[in-house]
Amino acid sequence: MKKIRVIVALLLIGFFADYLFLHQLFPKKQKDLLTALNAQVEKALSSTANGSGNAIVSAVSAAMPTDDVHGEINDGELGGGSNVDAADMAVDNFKSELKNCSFEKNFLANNSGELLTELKASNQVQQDQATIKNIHFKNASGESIRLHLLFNDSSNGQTRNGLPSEVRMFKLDAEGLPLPVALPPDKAKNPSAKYLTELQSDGNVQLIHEKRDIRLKDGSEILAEVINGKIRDFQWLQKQSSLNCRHSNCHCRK
Amino acid sequence: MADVWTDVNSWNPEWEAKYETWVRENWQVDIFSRDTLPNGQSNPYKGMRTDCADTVYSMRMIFAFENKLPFVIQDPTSPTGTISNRLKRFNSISREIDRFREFLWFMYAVVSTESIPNDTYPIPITREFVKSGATMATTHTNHHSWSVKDILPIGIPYLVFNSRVSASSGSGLQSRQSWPNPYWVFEGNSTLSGNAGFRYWRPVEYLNTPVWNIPNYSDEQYHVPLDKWENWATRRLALSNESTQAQITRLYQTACDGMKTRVAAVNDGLRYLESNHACMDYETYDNYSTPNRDQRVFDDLLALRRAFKNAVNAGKVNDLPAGLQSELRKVFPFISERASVETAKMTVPPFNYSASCQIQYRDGARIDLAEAKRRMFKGWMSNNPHDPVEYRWGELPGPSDLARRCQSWDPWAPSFGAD
Repeated sequence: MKKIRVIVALLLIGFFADYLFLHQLFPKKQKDLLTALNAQVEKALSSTANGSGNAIVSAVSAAMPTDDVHGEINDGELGGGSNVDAADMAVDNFKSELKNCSFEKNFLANNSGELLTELKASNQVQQDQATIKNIHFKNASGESIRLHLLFNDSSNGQTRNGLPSEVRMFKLDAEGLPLPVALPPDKAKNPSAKYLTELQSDGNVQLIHEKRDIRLKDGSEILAEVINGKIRDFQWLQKQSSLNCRHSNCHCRK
Repeated sequence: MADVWTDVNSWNPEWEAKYETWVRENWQVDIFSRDTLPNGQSNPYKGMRTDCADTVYSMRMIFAFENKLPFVIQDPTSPTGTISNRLKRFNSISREIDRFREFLWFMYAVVSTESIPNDTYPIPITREFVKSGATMATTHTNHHSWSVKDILPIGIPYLVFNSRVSASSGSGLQSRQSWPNPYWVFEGNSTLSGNAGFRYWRPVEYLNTPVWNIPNYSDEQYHVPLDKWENWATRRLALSNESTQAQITRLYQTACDGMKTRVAAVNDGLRYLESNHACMDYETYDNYSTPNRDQRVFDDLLALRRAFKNAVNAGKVNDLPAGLQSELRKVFPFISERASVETAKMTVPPFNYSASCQIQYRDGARIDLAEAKRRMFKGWMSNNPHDPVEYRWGELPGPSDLARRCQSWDPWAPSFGAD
């Protein structure tokens, strides 16, 4: 009989705890989060209406709880977009915003990558050059190495035919942050193609990240940030408007 | 595990206002070279050597360090990472200031003018945004950047900056109270995609996010024609008009400073030439030539000439002090003519021992601004590192024997345009 009373008491405590956490405290936490989220979204909507172009998605991201801002997302996650980009990948308004931004043109493209291909195929690209390139690879010893290539024009106006004006090399420390590796200054500045190949040795490339500046024959320009061949950020700057996309989340500014 | 420093405060409008005040009052050209700080303490930053981008980042880093604020930038070597004061790499160093100095050196090895767009965004051209603590950058054609120490009441920027770090360069920074030539700032790309012009620091939550999402992001400075850009920006930022005397004095000083700081840059090349008297390959030539610097000094002299000519035409030249008038007439002896005509007519001026701007470019060789201008406008001041000192400073018209024998790339020459 005593055992039955104990079991009943434990069951009652269990039901009470379940009620308290699931029906009282958790909804309150959810409500608080939703309130914060809604406030951010409303703020973003209001900014958009005022022309500052704030995206709602960013506001949602900003309202989400975050950890330490310092650090690195695993390169492996970047193939299909990192977690921080998930919200932008969930929205796909590329075609409607492209139409909104390109008055007289009809494109078939479903995304920025296809659009670039379409522009190149129709011979509308005048110049396409990298401005920054990061190459992450593991060397023969399994060490993670990063090459950071800068493509400034030299002070004497030479563009170096696609070669960078400077190469910087880094290993990674225990926190996954870049640790500079000293290169001979005369080789690091205006490096030769041969030297760049030597630095990469037979490394197993894990990530290629580059920013490209693409000039079209009609005078407009495209800025593309490309990760492992996929465009993450895409800005098409025309005279009266610009199409701005992170992944497929786009916004036409006029 | 120790952070480089522990951030106990957070960036907010109050701290941004304190940062603005601190930059206006404390961000000096001797921040890395003076022995003591204004409060009498020994200067912990003494001996740091910075290029232009390092200088821009240092301005924000030092304030963050001194006020226990977070300092976070996008990791330039990665599409998603960040680097901050919470870095643990230097935790074996016990003194915080020593950890900070190591952090500065580390950052200088990582950042560049190309990383500035990751950490800043283009701003509206108003005094609310273009203020002490902001930055100004060129396109990657000229890959230069400046820190904004102040915006003067007359709408002109007071910029603190540095140039390339070489084996012999010291820790002193440079400054100018005048506009850099907009054609040079936006050269090759006057649109938003050039990332040039005025920019301000991204809030940390907007690192690694698309620039167009940042509140107050503005592309208005890219819609102004370059021939109107300087006047437009001045009008937008001015609280009061500048007197003719103040304007000319300021521009005279800018041109003089440009000529004086050219000495150290040219000496770098001369030292190399002394031990390597042979044809240089492209990379070496590029390292020791001075076309960008020469163009900036030339632009500054033309700006001074335009201001003086305007004063003459407006009948305001007698408002200037007699000494300044006399110096200007010596620098620009045919002010009513076009600059190209003046250059053709101008003869060697007698050296003025009391000139307020004198440039000593080697032992026993001292010129005043008038003679320096004459040589530069004639195209005699060589930017070619194959040339010895007498050609680099235009005592003789080049090229020298070695310069004639060796390949050169895109030698700089004055172009007067409409002046």
